[in-house]
Amino acid sequence: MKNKILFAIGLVFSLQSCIPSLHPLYTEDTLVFEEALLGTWTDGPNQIWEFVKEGDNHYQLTYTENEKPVKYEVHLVQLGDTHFFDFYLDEKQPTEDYAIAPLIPSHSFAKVTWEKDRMDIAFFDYEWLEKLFQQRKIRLEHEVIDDGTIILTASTEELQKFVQKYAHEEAAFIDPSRLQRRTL
Amino acid sequence: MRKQPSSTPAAYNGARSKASWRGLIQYAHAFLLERIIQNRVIQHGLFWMLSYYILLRFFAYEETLYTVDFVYTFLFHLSLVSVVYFNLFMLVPRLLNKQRYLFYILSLLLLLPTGIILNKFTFEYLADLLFPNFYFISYYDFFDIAQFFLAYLTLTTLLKLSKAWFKLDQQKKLMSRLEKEKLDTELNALKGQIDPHFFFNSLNNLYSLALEQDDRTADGILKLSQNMRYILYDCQASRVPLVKEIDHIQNYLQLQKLRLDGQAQVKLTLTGDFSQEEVAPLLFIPFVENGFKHGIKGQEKGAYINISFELQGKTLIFKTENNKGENEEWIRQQHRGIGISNTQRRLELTYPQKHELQIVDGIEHFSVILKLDLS
Repeated sequence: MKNKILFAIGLVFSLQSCIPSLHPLYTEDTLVFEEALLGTWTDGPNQIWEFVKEGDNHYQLTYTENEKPVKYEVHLVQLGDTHFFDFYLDEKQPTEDYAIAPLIPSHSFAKVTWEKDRMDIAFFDYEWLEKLFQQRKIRLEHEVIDDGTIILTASTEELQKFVQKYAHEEAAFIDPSRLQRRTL
Repeated sequence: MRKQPSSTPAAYNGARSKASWRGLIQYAHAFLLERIIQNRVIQHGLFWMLSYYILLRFFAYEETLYTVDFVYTFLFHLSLVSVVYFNLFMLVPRLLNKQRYLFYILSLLLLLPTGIILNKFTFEYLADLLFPNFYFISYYDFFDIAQFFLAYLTLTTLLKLSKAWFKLDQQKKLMSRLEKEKLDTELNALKGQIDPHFFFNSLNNLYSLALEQDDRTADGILKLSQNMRYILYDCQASRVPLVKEIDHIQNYLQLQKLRLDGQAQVKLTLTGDFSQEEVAPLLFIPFVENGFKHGIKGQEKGAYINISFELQGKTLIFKTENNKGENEEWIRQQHRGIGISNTQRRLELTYPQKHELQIVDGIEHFSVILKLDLS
């Protein structure tokens, strides 16, 4: 199960593990929209990130790896002085390649920084959080599924507080994906 | 060898010793328990232990308790304890106890957000300093924390006030008991002053009869003995049957008649059924004595004393009227006897707001009207 979830929500990001959450990170008052993030980005020869505007204040991300596209609903959240992406796997997309995806719709979060043609996306480290939960050193509502997979069940408000407080905790994030704007 | 039954002296002593040890242990337990309950530090300690346990259970996500739950509950208590003790040691004694209610409420309204900020500070910064290996956030919003603090402030303030009220009530009871003891002592002292006064007068009368070798001396001693029995035994109670009090006065009048030998008019009128009524003892005799001492004694020829008891419902009306003496002793003793002063004080103590005493000190006559509410 764990691998399947990771597959659905993390495999497409170069198999980077991230923390699934039942509740989103954003609320209306924390949502921001940055025109500068629109466009096509790449972090490798076969990985393409394409951000287009959807609705009033969020993005649709089409991530293509080895010519297999996956669509995400992405919200940009500002908490304090830090920006985060809230990734949500679009349920409308074809599921033949990611059969598990609609079964557990979940959000995953990443810290994001950008300047001109560069964007860094750093996901929360699943293993770091898993270890804290196992050692009982953290108070954050979550559920452990049969195979040991952790899913955050904390409310949006608690998630925001937690993410904001530990936004600068190095151990909490895996190495960022460094994206470059692709120019045609 | 046959076993000794337990009723032997040794067994009895052993059992008694065991019982006394048990009693001693029970006493020690009761003493310790009382000391513990009354110990302020222990009281507060128990309160916060209970609070810690309840909040620990409330905060824990799971049935099983983990270190993180203990640490979180401890951290939450830091601001809670601060707010509670600031209220108990600063605001309650300085404002609430001095009935400065408006300032107290305003101070509480300031204390609440201060406590909430302290709570936020605890989990945002202090928690990382004290427990760097643990990861906490402030899980509750402003309103939630305010509810916690308000509940604790209300509870602890009420506990403190109820404790103060309990102490005040105890002090009132103690004061009331002391006041009653004081009154009892005073009443006994007043009664003690009445007794010798009456006996000296009576003995003087009998002494006069004995000097004259009057046959009525024996009867006089019998009457005096009956009165002594009444005073020594019956009058120890706070209330006596009214009929006994009247009997006592009748005996006294008989004693006086023995001495006067018909030279003065002594009249006692009784109206009503006195059998069911009770009064404070020896209330009337000082007025009667006063009539004899300062009236008849000063002018035996044509002297008189009229005494009456009348019961109207639950109101007893006692009246005496006597002539005023004209000899030197009477002129010298213009002041009323100590017996009447004592009785006035006793009336104030035993029938507060339930008696009415009217003394008319005329040129030729002296009269007393005493109304007692016996209900």
